[in-house]
Amino acid sequence: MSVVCERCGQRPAALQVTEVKDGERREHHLCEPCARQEGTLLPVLSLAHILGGLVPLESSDGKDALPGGPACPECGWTGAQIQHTGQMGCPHCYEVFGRWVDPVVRRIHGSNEHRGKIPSRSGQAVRRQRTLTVLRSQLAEAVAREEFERAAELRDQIRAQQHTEEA
Amino acid sequence: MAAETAWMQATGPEGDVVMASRVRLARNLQGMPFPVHLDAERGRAMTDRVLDAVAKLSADWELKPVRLETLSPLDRQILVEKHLASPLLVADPIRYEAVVTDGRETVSVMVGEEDHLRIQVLLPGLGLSEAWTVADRLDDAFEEHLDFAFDAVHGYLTAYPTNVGTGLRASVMVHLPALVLTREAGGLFHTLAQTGVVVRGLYGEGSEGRGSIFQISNQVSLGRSEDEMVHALTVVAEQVVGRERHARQQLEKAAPIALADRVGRAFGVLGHARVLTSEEALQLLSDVQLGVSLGLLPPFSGATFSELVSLTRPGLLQRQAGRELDAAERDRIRADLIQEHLASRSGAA
Repeated sequence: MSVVCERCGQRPAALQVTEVKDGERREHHLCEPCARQEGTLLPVLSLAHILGGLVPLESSDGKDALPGGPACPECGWTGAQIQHTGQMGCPHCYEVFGRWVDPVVRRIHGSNEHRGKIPSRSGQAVRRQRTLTVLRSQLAEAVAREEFERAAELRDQIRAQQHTEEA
Repeated sequence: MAAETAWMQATGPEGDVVMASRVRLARNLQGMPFPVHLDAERGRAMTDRVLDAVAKLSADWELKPVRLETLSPLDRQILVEKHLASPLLVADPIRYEAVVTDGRETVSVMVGEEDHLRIQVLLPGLGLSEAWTVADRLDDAFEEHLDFAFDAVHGYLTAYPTNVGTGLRASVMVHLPALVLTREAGGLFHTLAQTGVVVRGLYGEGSEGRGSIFQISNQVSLGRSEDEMVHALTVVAEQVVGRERHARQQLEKAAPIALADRVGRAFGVLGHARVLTSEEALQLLSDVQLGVSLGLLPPFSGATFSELVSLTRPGLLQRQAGRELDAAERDRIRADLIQEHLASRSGAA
């Protein structure tokens, strides 16, 4: 299993890189320092690598890099600390640093949207929101199909949902 | 052999290849910094809140909390060797960390590791969806008493963005001696890596498949439901099981003498060696287990392969011996203990 880095021939290869050149596929086995030096070979990215400074982080609009901005008002964690540790400081950091972190999250997971479990208590609002979104799109469909009885039913359900939200 | 850890003691579905299944959920308390940013005082408050919640859970769970500061270094080491705690959780300095386990050590909740809670369920053999069902129920039970950090877009919020979303990591521990011998394992792992599945050695990164034992887990935690993730990894595990069984049959067909020779030699050395290092023991146990699975050797007596593998670890070995041992003593006692579980070849099967 243990392959030696083909560039330095010393350290164990930590990354496998596939290069496609002139229609030909080649596999490269590199250790981390060598992969870092080989600018053209972007290794399989782990988030810790990206946040840990292997790749400079830029905001989605390509402007300011992460470390400069203000700290999280809730916990005081900074962009530099995220980049250093690869970790967020507290749950609120996701809101504060989302502009930088969300593109990375998308790159890692191939998605930016949670489709799993919703907690019954702290997720109540989210649960209602999901229901409302579904009901509204069903209402629009019903109206488009001129199914007015169905539309009236859906409208009442939406009102009832909104009512519980206000209560 | 005295053990109380269900996943090690029993053999589960597809047990000839899959040693254990694990599902872990990462959870954090709302409005509380993650452990990386938590000072000792707030850390203790966090642990208190979690342990308060544990006390309120139904007695049916049979949960038993232990604060790590009350454990000896050896007992902490044993938690890691049983896969009930991670090396990170038990690493010095101990500040406010705790572990909550149930009577059969099927459930383990790490408190204060990378996330506030890591809810884990470990079952013998291939049983990811069963493990997820239990983890889901325990998560619901905790949620009645704790507010978990969650938002609509990111899902469950975790210290590392790699775990965000479901916070779920599913993994299976597999024994792949034939795929390693036929050198097919590397190619298989490469293929798996391209589908978002990670393969590591038995004791995490850096322990490259010693004893041909590997951990296979999902990398992605966001964008799919828990059921989908668990199902996807189950399918991967089933394919790996099929490939390993096929490789075993191929070995038997293509090189029956070489195979019988290899497992027979391993059986002989384990049966008569007086000194065994952990690495040598692991390799020999792996070879013997291959022989057992193909009916070439009698099964181990009074212990599972997983339990004997655990004797290659210093902590559990010392627990088994009932006293502290230096390195040289460990190699001697290990040889003795393993010998007790080898059925004599003439008398068995």
